[in-house]
Amino acid sequence: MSDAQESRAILKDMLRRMLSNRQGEGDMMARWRQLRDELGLLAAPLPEARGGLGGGFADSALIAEELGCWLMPVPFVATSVIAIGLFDALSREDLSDQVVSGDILPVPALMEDGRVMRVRPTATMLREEDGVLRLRGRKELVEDVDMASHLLVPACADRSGEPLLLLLPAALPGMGWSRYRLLDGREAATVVFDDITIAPDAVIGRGEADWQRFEAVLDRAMVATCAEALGLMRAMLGQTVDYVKQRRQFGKTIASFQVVQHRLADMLIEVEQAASVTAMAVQALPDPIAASTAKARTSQALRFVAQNAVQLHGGIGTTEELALSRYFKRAMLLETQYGSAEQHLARVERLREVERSLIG
Amino acid sequence: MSVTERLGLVDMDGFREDVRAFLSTSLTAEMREAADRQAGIYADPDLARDWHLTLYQKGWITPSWPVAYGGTGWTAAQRLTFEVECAAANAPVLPAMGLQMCGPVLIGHGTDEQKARFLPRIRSAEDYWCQGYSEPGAGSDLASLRCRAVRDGDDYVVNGTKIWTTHAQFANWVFLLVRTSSEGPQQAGITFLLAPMDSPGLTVTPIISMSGEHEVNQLFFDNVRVPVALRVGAENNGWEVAKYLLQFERGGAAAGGRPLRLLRSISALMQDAAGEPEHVVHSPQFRRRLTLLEIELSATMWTQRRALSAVASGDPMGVTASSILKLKATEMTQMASELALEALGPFASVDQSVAAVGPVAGRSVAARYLNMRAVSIFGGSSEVQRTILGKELLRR
Repeated sequence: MSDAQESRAILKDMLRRMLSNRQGEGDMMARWRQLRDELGLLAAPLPEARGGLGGGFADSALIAEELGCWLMPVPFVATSVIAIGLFDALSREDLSDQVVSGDILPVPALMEDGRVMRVRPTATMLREEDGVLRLRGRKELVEDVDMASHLLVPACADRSGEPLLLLLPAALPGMGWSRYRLLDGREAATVVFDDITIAPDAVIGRGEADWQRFEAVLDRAMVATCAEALGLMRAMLGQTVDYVKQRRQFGKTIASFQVVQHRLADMLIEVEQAASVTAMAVQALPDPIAASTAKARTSQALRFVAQNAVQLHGGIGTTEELALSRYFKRAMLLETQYGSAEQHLARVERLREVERSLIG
Repeated sequence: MSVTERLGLVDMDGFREDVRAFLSTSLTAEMREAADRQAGIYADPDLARDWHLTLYQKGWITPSWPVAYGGTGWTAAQRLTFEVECAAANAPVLPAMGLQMCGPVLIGHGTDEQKARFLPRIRSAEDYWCQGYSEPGAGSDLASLRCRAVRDGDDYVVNGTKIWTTHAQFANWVFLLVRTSSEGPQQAGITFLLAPMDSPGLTVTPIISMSGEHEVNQLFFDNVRVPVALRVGAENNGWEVAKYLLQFERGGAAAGGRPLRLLRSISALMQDAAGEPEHVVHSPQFRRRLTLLEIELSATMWTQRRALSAVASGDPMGVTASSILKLKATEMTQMASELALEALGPFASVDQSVAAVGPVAGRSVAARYLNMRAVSIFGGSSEVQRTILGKELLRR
């Protein structure tokens, strides 16, 4: 076993031990603090020189998968993959360190229109007037707002139209919040910036090069989401296998029916295909085609596995009482998180066209 | 050929126009809007009652019943037309337990006294029925049910439990299957009973579904006394009664009803997205899937129409149709609920029971998607339906 493999096995073991006996207990912030401070979850993917295990993104994927497996929807991707990923890419390790220490908890505020997953801002405008920066616009479906200290807000400059990346304190005066709950129980909000004044140092990225860096970070977030989805799928398949082995109808376990066996086989095939595209995308980063391939395929697999897990559980599978229903609802969220299967299929097609035209 | 003809409906003597005229005046805007907010299998009791009484006053509450018991005397095609028009107009979905389950069972198997006592009260909405079939250990294998009834004088004494009892919390009556004999094949020891929900010893425990709603329940019978006069059919002949009802449950209602209602909400979401060219509903892929669903819908409506004539002529289609229709209704319903979810997009992640967020047309979409997971499980799962079809085909 290589050092990296060994440290990964240790990490996985520690995660399992911590997560397996804490499912559904305590509030999300308490659970997150424990994972962050006791386990050092945010530092884990960082280089050893910065206190990490040096496993890089492969460790991020492993952590995300375990979080999925144990249904622990903490803001790992938002902080570790997106915030730290972006801050590092912008050479702002000072900000990354604050995330790792827990001094700040930034969450991305990506969607201007909650009906479409489009990240590039067109209506969140930053205007400079007599040396004062004023922001106008709105972001929908900003997640984990009850835990966030800061919002990571893509915007555009009103004159040049150039893309900007803002890091705004969540408590900034003048922000309008309407809060609501998501299907997985977490809190989200629509945030309105009604011509609010922001500090000059809130602009942490500017221009096309920085925007490309941000898009690359989002591709990683997408792949980490696939890993979390994979964890969910493995858990749902495992729960279903356990259930069909003990549920008896017609004088035998329902596992003895071929229709049930074949359905389980189809679920397994989906899980393995999702595992494969995710592993491929982890290797292929920063390839955007690989990232979207993984998200498209994994989202499809996730729907199939979740639906059939419920189906094979029968009536009990449709109840709130069973943990499966919480996995199912989390799966609904992850299916569209950072883009649905349909949107990523379209992106793969678009990017492949460009690739073909370059090859000639 | 018009759209409704492709759905298997031919306008005979202006029948459809009469139905539409009635719907346009009697199905109020408030009822339609309230129906849009419904996410459950059946409309909430208040809304259902309003619509039920409207149909009752018109004389259209039980079109499928024989005229002598309050039926309309419509042909099968007219009944389908009526149901499809109601669905297309977004009429509330009435609970089927009284109108389409218990009523027909009593007409087919009840005594004159039972018919006289219960049928008028089903029609007038004075009684609210629920169905006691499934048990924790008897789902797909319904015949293995264990809820026991022992004869004691003029009563049966019932002990056991029933599960997935839809709207038991609103019902004042339950029809149920109980075990009265353990001899011979399981099916031969089952009896069909009617019981008041306020019977001493009968308790109702809510089961919350994954959408967070309280639609189903578990019933517990602790020495519940049910008069023998409330038995339907002979003792130990309940399976025959139940089979009759299951056939009715699977094939009786218009298979296109739920999909049509869901298609309405998809159309509303498409209108909402009209000004957003990047919205998924404008993609050829989404349009293609919608078209495929609409094609399946018209095929299924015609299957139902053909089945209705086949039953009359003793064609084998009549035997298999109820399972085919249950399967197709289920698949179309679930596909439509998925398309609606996709048409809503990221807002589908919001728990709308806490706060209303996003397009008005999307408020019930996620809850419906969650609730419609059950349609391939209840009333005979899709796996059971396919087994029935396979066996029937091989038996020939």
